[in-house]
Amino acid sequence: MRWAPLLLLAVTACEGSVLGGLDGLPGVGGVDPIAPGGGPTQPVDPLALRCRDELSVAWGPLRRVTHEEYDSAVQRLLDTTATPSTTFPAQARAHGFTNGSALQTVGELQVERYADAAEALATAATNDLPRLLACDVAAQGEATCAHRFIDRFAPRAFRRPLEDTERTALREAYARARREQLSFRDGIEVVLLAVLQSPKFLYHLEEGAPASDGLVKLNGATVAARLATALWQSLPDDALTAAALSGELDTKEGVEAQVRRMLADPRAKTVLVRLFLELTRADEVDRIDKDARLFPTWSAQRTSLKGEAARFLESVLFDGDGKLSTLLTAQHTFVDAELARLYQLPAVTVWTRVSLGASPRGGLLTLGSVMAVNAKANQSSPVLRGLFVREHLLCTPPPPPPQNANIVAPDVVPGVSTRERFRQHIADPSCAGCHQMMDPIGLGFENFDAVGGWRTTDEGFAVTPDGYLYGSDVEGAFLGAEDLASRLARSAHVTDCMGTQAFRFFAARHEADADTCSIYRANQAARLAKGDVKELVVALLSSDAFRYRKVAP
Amino acid sequence: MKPLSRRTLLGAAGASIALPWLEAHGQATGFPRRLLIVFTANGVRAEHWRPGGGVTDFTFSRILRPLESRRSKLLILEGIDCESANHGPGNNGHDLSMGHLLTATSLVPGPRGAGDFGHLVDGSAGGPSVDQFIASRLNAGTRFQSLEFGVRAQNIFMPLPSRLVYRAPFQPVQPENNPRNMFTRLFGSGVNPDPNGARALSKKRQVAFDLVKDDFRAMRAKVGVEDQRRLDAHAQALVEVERRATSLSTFSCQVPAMPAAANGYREEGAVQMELIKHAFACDLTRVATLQWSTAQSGATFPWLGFSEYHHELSHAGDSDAVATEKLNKIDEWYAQQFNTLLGHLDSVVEGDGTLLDNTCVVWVNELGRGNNHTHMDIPIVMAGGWKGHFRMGRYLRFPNTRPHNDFLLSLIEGMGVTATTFGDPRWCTGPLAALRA
Repeated sequence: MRWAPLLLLAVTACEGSVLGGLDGLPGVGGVDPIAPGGGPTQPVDPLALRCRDELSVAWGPLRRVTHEEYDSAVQRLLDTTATPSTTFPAQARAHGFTNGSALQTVGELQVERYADAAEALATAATNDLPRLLACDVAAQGEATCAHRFIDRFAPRAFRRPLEDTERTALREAYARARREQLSFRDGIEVVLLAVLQSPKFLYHLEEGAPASDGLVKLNGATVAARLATALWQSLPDDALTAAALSGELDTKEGVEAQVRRMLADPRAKTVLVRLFLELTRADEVDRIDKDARLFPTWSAQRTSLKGEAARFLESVLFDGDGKLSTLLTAQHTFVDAELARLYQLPAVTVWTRVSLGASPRGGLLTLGSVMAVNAKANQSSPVLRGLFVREHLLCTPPPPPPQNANIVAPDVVPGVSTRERFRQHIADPSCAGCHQMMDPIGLGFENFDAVGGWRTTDEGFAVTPDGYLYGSDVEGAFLGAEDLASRLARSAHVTDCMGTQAFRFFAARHEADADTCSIYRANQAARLAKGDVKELVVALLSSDAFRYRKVAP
Repeated sequence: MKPLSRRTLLGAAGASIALPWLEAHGQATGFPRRLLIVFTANGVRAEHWRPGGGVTDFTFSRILRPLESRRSKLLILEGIDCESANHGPGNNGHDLSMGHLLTATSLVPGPRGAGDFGHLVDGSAGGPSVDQFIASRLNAGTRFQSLEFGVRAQNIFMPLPSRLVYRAPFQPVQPENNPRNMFTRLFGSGVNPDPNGARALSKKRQVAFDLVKDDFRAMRAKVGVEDQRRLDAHAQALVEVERRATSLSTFSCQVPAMPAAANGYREEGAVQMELIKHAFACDLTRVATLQWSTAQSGATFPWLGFSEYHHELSHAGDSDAVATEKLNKIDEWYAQQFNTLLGHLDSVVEGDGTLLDNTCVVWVNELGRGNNHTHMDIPIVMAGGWKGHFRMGRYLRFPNTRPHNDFLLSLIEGMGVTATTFGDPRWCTGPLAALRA
């Protein structure tokens, strides 16, 4: 059995000679090599031993609700379609995903937007007080209805039962508002403002009971909130809250059952698609500019490219077999009129699923969005495309360039092909050590231009999409993107990397050594399920990393 | 933007606009000093930026020619080095340039260290930026301690090159990139509540804020040191927002109309520059920044006749005349924008001078030159100069070069804030006396 603790190895330098292969390639050093003659050796898998009983989780920072979670939460709490986060400052993507907690510091602008949003939501919600309160004020009295509203609203917003002191404090805020001559409606608005700006709503404080080694076993409400946050980017629903109360979420099996239920919900669909959109950065395609003289229809295309990516991902993950290998090699996509033109397919008028059968296009890698995002304004980019495969699919990014390296892409020179320009690039020994880990992969995509269109010539030369993938369990020469995709589809390194990426997304943080066994076990489960992405999700979300927390340093 | 109308406003439903210097002096005599820092990216080709001639009889370069008519109000500097950026953690030229530009101290790497192209994945600048250093010490009593205007000043994948302004390490201040959102921030929705409504609104907000602050205190006690820092930053900002949202002061000021929706780098920038004028003219703040794009800017300028990303162009070799011409066009365009901004400020009469005269506007660039990422000799143009505080109308060379800590300290001193050093003290030797002499 193969194992691949890729994420644990320190990346220090690109070593190894240009011609002799990359013996020192980061992330490959500990992996069983393919033995000469082709048959794999039978290595001992130290992780199997380590992860037999190890219980460990790395610390993660206090997470703020993401913009997506905020919108979804207020929509469910207040039965509105408002999307207040459209005016919030952009979220930094420190490890590639929008929900990353590393850089979630909140400044004045964000606080002001929370205040504005709370006020707008409170005003709108109290426009129809009877609907909001569902309480007969004339019969029950204002105070009773206000108290019932607090009891119903605050625990849902805080994603846990209300403590007595919290109930008292909210009742007192309402009472104080009334003492200060504010109206009943204003009193209800005060409750809304206080809850929607509270750190108990805006941050995920995760609580539980002390377990071994500085770990906390999360209580049911916290696990429910974690699951809802991870898989729905929203609040727990009634079933999840009930499972938390009944103790069902105290066991791994109980968590698994809930995750399976949750995966069938449309919210899980949106979030799993988002995982892959953000992993490939296909979601950014409609924000990038291209050279308008070379690509005059780009501004119309880029919106279509984003639509294609989402449709393709959903079709494989939810309407297809849901396997990672299928994501990489599927022979279909979705085109609208714009994309049919770009992909040189028969004209269509509405979004249409098309078979790519004989076409050299197919799978995640050759989505126009993925090709366009990993390219320049006026040319392809073997470096960016190679880096994309290496970093996001193999989890073995090359180390950063040396201090003060002059990072200059070779200029576009009329009459010189990209391949030729990069040949000169890689001939410089000081560049080659690292660049041969990227450029030879990226050159395999040379049939795809800067906007993801197909081309057979480059600066007048016929494109030869031969590439080479150094340093993985599918090392070797390949011809074109399709060939590369089928290699990656059978790579254990790729499926294990997917486990790591999914961990980063669902945990909203980068993994650390103490997370190794949570990821390892999830990857084992995913392998047993032949790379089924949903099985990976079930295994990850029921792993120790999602049911325990490390006590803060 | 339409001519101004008079109205009084409150909080988020309408800005409450006070003119503290009028209150303080009873009449329009002492106008306050303001500081405005304007940022553009990717360095310049110095040989096309540098003026010719002498200190007072200098001639305008290709890039700076759009500013020619403002000669007497300009002070152009050569020989200021961003020396601190040559030291300390960091591996990427743009991380270093941006993280040091207004802080003048070493970067702080995050737990993940360096990633793609050597960028610090989750790192931060190592101290407050000069504008925040000043704003937090001014006690100006203005509605906003500072205002951060951006024009597409965001790259979500690159924390360090994105952020110019910091309150403290790991507390970057995000600019508002959307002019209409900025307008609402400054002047409210335009709805003018009656005084009773205003009092009720203020009271309602106050009751809620009081409970929210209690919640922050309670949660703080339950988390570790690292998380406390996050909560504290939020709680600190909350106090500022609370102060504004519950203020009942209703000093009158001429409030502009909501700008039309802008879409495009040029268009958004144009509105932001007008809003800066209004924000200063209404004394909503004394300290502001305008950040055009980010360090390592990938902005495109199709209206100049080409569409390569700015950063890509800036890497072209010195001998590449075509790229150099495009870069010069970009920097010349930025000089035109700077000139427009100065024109806005100069159009507001304040006593016997103008708003520009009472402001020090500083145009800085992250780098000296783009294709070698040098932090030495960063191009700086100052304008206004606080009514003679700085001696304007000059092109000043520092042949022995001075660290930019000294330059930033001169701004601190000019704003009346007491400090003997700024940034990493190793590179700070004292204010630049030559600016005043």
